[in-house]
Amino acid sequence: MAQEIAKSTGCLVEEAEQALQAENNVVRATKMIAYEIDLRRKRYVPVLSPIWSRYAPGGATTTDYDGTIELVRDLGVELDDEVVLALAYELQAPQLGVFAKLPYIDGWARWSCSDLPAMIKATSVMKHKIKENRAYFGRVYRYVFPYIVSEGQRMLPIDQAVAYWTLLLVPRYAIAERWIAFMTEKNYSVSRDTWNMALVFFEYAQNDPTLAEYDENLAWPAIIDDFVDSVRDHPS
Amino acid sequence: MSLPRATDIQGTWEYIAKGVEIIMVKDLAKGGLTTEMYMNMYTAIHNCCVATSQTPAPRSSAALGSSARTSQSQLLGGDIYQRLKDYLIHHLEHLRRDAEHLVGIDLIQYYNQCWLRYTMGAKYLDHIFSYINRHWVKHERDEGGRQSGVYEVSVLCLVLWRDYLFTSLSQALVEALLQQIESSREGNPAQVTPLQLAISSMVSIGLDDQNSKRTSLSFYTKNFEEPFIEATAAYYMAESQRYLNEHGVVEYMRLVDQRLQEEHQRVAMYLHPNTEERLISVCEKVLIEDNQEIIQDQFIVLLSANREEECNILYRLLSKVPHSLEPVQDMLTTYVEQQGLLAVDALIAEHEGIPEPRVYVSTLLKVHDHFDELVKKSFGSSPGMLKAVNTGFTTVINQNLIARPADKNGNRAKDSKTPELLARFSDSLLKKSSKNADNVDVESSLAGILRLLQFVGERDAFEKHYTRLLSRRLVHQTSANQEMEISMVSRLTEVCGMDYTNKLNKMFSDITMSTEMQQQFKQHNPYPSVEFTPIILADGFWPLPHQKVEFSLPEKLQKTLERFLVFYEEIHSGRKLKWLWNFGKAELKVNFAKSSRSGYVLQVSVFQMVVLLLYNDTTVLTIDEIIEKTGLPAELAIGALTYIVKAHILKQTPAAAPLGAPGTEYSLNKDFKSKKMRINLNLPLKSELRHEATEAQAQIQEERNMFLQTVIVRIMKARREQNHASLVHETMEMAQKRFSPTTRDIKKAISALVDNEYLKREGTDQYVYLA
Repeated sequence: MAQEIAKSTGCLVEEAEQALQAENNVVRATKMIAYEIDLRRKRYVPVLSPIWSRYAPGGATTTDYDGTIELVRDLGVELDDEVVLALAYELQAPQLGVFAKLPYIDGWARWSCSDLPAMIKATSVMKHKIKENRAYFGRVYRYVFPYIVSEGQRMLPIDQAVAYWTLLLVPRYAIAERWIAFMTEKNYSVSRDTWNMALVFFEYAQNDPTLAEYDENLAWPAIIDDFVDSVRDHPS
Repeated sequence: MSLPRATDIQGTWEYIAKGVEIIMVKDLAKGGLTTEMYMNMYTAIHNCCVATSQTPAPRSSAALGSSARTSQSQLLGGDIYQRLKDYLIHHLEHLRRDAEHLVGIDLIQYYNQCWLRYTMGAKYLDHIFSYINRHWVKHERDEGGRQSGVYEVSVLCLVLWRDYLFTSLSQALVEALLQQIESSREGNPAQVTPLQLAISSMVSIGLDDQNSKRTSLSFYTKNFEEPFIEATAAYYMAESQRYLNEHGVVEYMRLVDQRLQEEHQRVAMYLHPNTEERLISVCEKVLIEDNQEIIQDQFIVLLSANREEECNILYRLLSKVPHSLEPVQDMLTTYVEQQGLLAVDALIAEHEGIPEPRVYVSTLLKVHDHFDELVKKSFGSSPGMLKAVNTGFTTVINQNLIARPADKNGNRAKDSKTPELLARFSDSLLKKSSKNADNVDVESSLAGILRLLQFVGERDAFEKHYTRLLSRRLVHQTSANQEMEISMVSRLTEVCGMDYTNKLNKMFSDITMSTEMQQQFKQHNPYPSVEFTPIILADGFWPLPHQKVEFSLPEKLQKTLERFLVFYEEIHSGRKLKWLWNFGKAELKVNFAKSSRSGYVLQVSVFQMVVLLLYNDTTVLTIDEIIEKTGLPAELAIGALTYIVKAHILKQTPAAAPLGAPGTEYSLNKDFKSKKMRINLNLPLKSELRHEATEAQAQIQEERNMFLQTVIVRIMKARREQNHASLVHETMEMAQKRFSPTTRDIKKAISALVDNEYLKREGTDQYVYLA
């Protein structure tokens, strides 16, 4: 339900969930969100449009490659910094390397940023948040899959998955390298379910590093069962 | 003696009392009451009751009160009634006094004697006093109900017996009875009649408070049954301990068996039938239930010693106690498992490896027969015990060392080989072969296979292998007996279901239709240059992989083939034919050898034929020439050469080079010699066989995965939403008929469906169906 509201209004899924909880009624929740967004847009579209047009000249509603690079550089971050993914999430970037105008404005409006310095400040808050807040990291992580997967595809090629896992998971989870090695060796493509459940599994493994208590009767994807087998067969 | 005056109550009683004395006390054998006296007594009572109606005799104020509303004649009956009652009480006290010094059987005998005499007298009294019964007693009871303390004379007699005689004697009497019973349990012959009489008297005097004409068992239960049951429990408790210590469990079981029979008889002889249930249940509790573990522990000992009779006793005893057979069933399952697995291990040891399927099957059948027989003989064909055997046997069939051989690290194979072995054995039975001369043998072996099949967990694997082998028999015409084939298929329906056998039947009908068509083609083409017998198979029903091979058919054959295609197009216009060249075979008559004038017949594959026909024009060819002229892929050409060279029909130069190596030459061996006139060169290559078996196994895996996915989708379609554990459980249940999937198998299927967006994960362990 929350996802449908998010899709129709352009808000974040988390916002939709909150609204649903508060209203307990889909129609009212949708209306409330649409009203808020409308208010924000009235105020922020005039202010933010000129900034946007620096990255997407000629009235374009999406950025091209150069525009994207400039947009990110202006915020004072490197392209290979994980905060870029948080930005993609906050600004609801539709696909890898592309920002779109309306989500861009909505995103900054949520952060109440009306000029570049404010945006830079917000970005450094995001940088902090993604490091310290596990729930927030989870939201960004789950956003990454649809963000980086090619349009119309269900599976992520293993190389691409590995690149992002290396960026996001290796610094955080001890078992991540092992996982990446396993997946690379098997040369499996990665489904959205595998992507999402991998994070759930890593969280689990924090409390059970030897995986002694892992129960394959639970709803773990079969691929994670296989991984646990291989860890158990060759503990190192 | 004249009748007393009707108004003279005392006189009337005295007149009657003499008769009463005769009725109750006198030895009737020496002449009882005369008819006249009987009549007189009756009349006297009648007169007395009727005549005094005008002068009411004072009895009690309560009685007076009631008399105001009713005829007074009935009041007088009360005086006579009271006098009779007094007399009876007096009489009973006298009887009781005489019993005081008696014990044991003497007491019982005396009691019975009194009882018989007393009850007989009571019957007469009831008749003589029937006028009072009908009027005064009835009136009093109607008025006062059961509080009145007034009874019909027959009942009065019983009440008084109970209150003035039995109550004071009961303790001694019951003690005496129990003593007698114990003594009979000790093996002393008991006198049945005295016991029966005394005990039944207790039923007779158990009057129902609600309705004096009925007896109630509660009096008997309280006074006799309860002490009896208690004594029984105590007796058997002591005996079971003693006997177990002295004679051991097996003898004890025999004793219990015998004791239970005795107690049943005891009820029939002298107890009230109602006691049976309580008696037997207390015996079963004390004798069996309280010792059930000791008895259960004996089971394996008896079983391994093959002591069928004792097994039977043990089974019968334990089956009387709820749940006590459960441990025995578990033991039986384990025992069957052990024995079955040991039998297979022994078989492997004896043959120093895997024996042929025939021996394997007969060993399994022997194990099954043995336990089947055991269930019939020793366990009365009990469903519970049969289930225990079957559970154990299922493990034997699917888990033994031949079914799941261990590799060198001791890891057991994942999939059972039993289905394949059963299929291969049926193939060897149904194939043309000198070994299967006897049809009866074949029949019974097939029946054995079907029997084992019921226990095979991976039935789908059997189906796969059976179809594959059947298709080979049909296509290669190696089936020995069409009737036997069809009867086997119809029997497979019971085990594998219609869906499966329908497919097989389609294969048979393809063959029949092809035979008809071959006839038609022969008529159509009466003078063929070569014999050509095409078989047309329906696509999708035959597990015969189509291998697309380009090669050039010799001209002669090509013409026949084209003629056939035209013919076929005429009957079935528009159908597309794919030739399964790799399943084709041919017979060639050859005359090149000097050793035989009549020549030889070679049975060859199509590819071998193509190669050999080249030698009609020449006697020597290089490998490259063979490949070029036949147009066959190198691999197939070399494969075709394998057995031709092995049989020395073609000679390779240089001989030492590997088959088909560049530059090798193959020349016709004119010195070829063979004892047989027909030589079969169409043998499967070892690599092909291995490939086929692994292929089949892979297909089975793939089909299982698809099957599981179908099942899951079906469940989710109905449920829309389901949590992980229930989904796995339900899928497991539904798949069970075909094979036993592991949790992992099911999880793989679920993952595949989630990845392909048929299902969506909600939270961490909930799935939602995506239409």
